[in-house]
Amino acid sequence: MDSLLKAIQSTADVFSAWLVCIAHPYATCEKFSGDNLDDNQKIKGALQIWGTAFAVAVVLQLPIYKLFGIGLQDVHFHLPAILFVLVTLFLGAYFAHMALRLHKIASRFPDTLAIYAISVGAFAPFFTVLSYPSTLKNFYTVQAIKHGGLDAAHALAVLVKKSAPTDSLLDFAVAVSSPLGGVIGLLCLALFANAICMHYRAEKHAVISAVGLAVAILLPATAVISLIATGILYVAIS
Amino acid sequence: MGRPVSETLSANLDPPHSKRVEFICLLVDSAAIMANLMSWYLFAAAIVLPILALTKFWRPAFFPSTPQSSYETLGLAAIMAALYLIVAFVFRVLSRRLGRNHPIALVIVSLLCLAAFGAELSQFSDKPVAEQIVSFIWLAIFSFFAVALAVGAVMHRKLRG
Repeated sequence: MDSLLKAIQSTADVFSAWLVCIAHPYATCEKFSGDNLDDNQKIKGALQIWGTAFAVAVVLQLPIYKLFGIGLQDVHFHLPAILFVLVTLFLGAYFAHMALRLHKIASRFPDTLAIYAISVGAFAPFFTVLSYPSTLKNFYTVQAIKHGGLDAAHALAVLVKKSAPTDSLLDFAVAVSSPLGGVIGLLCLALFANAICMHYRAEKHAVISAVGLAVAILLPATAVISLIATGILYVAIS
Repeated sequence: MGRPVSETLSANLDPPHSKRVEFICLLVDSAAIMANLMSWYLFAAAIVLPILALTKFWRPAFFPSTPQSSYETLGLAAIMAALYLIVAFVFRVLSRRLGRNHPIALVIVSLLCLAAFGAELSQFSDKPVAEQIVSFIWLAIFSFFAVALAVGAVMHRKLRG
């Protein structure tokens, strides 16, 4: 009973920390990137917030996984998915760090990672909800490829064009949710840029230029990672 | 290079701005990031386009649908690249000015949003209902940014503070 209470308590703690982060992102960024913490503590604290957001996002996606025959027990799908999301997080933070350095802003990787994980990663559940239609469409497309027994080149063409037959209502939902997701993504990046400005006391236009460069490099890298993740989905989907 | 937490908290986390000013600040910054992102991709396209056109000299089979000669293709690509460079430069300048909350840049981008709003609105009635709903979302986004940037231009001194 004690261990159960402890588990509930710790879950409540991390969940409330995440909610505080959503409500006060700037304060949370400073809390986890401040000078009173060592590098390890900064990364650990930020990853805790990000991990909670990621767990909420996974819970929100569970119905879609279930719809396509992927259960919680399918570790061959979930573990690579966690790895890909972590790699994307670290790549985003690393590109931002390098771009900031390129713009002569004395970025420190643990600080930038902490700020990035909080200001961008913590809002993952909102993107998950908004990307429901595109996730469903992606899953339908991969399922159609698998059932159609297409060769690799043909499958890639279908995947890029997303031309598998789907419900037109779904296409409509994708068209509605995509611009909203884009706007929220931009707002998160603006939040990140502001938090970086405050933390490093840098000029806003230099930070914005660095963030723009980092995102310009990150987007093609994310496309490659998504393609690999789709391969994993192909194996797991029924 | 970070400064002490207490100092930062007192300086930035309890700012004199209202939530509304902070939100307009976020919208202006997101517009600046978008302009900057577009400038980087336009720069990349301006570099890639002539390189692709050059490949026609030794791999004409890659361009079966282009009726122009290799030199004409290269010329067209050079003109396109120059145009891309000019637009990229304009976006870059706009991004820098937006980053500094420059009122003229704010007004220009607000007008650009209004132009996009007008272009979307002009095609609105010709579309089927489902596309009209999607179009409505875009209209809402463009008008939202146009108004926010215009308000930002009026209160640019507050944004700088």
